[in-house]
Amino acid sequence: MNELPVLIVGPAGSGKSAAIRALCGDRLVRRQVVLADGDNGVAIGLETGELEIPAAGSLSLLAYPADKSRLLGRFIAPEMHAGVVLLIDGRDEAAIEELRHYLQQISSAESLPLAIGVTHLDLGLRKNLDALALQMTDFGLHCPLFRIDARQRGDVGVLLEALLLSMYVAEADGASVDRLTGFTEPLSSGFCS
Amino acid sequence: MRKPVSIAYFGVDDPVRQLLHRLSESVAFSSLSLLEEVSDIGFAHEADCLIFDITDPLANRKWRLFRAGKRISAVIIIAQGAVSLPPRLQARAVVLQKPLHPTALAWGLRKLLRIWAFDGERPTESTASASVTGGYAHLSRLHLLRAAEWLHGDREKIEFRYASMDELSASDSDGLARASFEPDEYLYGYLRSALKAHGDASHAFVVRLPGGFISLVPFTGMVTILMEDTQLQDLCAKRLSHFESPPVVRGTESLEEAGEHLPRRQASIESLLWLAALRASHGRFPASLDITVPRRLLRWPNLSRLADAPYAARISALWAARTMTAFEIADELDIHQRHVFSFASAAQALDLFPEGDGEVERAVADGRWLGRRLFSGARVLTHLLRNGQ
Repeated sequence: MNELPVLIVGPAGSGKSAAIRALCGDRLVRRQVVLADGDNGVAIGLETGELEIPAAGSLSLLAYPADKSRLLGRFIAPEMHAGVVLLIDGRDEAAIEELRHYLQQISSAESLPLAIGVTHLDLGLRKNLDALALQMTDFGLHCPLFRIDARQRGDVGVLLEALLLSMYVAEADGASVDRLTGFTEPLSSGFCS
Repeated sequence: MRKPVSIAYFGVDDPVRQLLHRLSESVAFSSLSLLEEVSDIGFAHEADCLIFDITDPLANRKWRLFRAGKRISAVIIIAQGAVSLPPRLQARAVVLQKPLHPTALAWGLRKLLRIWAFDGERPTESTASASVTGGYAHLSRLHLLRAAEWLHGDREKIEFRYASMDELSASDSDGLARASFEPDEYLYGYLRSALKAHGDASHAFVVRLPGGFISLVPFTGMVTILMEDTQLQDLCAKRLSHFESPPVVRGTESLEEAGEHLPRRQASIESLLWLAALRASHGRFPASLDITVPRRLLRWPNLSRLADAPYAARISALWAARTMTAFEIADELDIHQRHVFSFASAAQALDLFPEGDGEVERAVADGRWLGRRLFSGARVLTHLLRNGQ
């Protein structure tokens, strides 16, 4: 069976757990991963949910805790995760700062496809969405940025659909080859005789 | 329950053994089950995949036994120097060179899992070459599409009436002329012009239409529609000449007058323009949009809040990542051009394409790789540093 781990990150209250529940039901499982930190380890508690997709495998959704966001850059890894969903609370006046913070944290995994969901956006607050979209353009990012209600299965589904399609295109474009430059070809075939 | 993928390993030294166990304990590789080094190659036959460190003499002997056998299995060979592979293993072996970098081992494991996954299906060259190498996933691209389609679910799709036309070539100027339309002759073109004229105003303005009204509030980006839905759909698809030129009225007094007999609902201006452009398009494209020019979307349309046009997510994914013509998009996705033309009409209505005559886009397309990075962290960091973050 194929499994696709997708990391869901974002500030507290942005809807990470709600998004997993919307897709996977209430069967959330807490897992703990210990991240090496010098001689000590730092425990990272992940909320996870799994979604079986007929004839395609399963999606593992892993909600990364907001209070450990400073360690996200060390946790996230292209060889461990297939893509990232970033949820931003659109009500938050510091939404753009949060966006910057998380983009900075995940920049170490730059080749991972990314999709951004802006949550809690009431009708009158669309300026926030526009500002985030402008910021994205400024960053040169072309990833999906959708307004979503993280409690709605349809909304979360569309965001993940966009993420999977981004993966599809990235694969076709050989994004991973860029990332693995240096040992992809030599190790996989170049030394075979 | 998923059956874990069992991997037996032979001759690996302590650092590699620890690394293997660390990886197998991680969430991403939780589907792995490691089998401790064993003394008999027979045990390995029970494993799904094998790892041999052939710099170890005992493991090297086991490798040679395995190589001479008939078993087909995904295998990692850790070596120093060239490795000779029999034909049956050439597409199933991953050779890693010592000294072994942890990232290389993780990459090798991913590849091993992928080979194993495809062995269970159709281990053809075409399938293997279409497999996912980005991220951890060992899903094929086909699996990604299946999963995306499944997630799309039962979203209500719009039924379109397409103009009758054949597939076009970029050099067929007559065909291109037939497949184009003038947005200004349709409601969405009119609304766009009205928004440009009144977009800076902080007050609402009202467009009076046959059978109802549309009140637009540029400041909030919202519209109030007072009209039967079927009537609105029809109006979007008709040329303006079918009804009198809609007057623009300041203020919303007329809405109050319009009364209670009309259904009233709110939507975003964006979703109205998107829907109206799709309806007007009929599978054609706006004459003002040179469809032969390679372009790239400035950003994805907000698909969670827009009407579900056919293939909109797939077209968005491709067009947001690459600079391409509409013809190339249709070819790549193997869909009718009319779907791409309709999407292009709606995307232009939302200003999702860069302004200009396409010269910049052509220049970018000449350096294709520039348009292929989905997410350039380096660029983000540069930006952050430049801004003193």
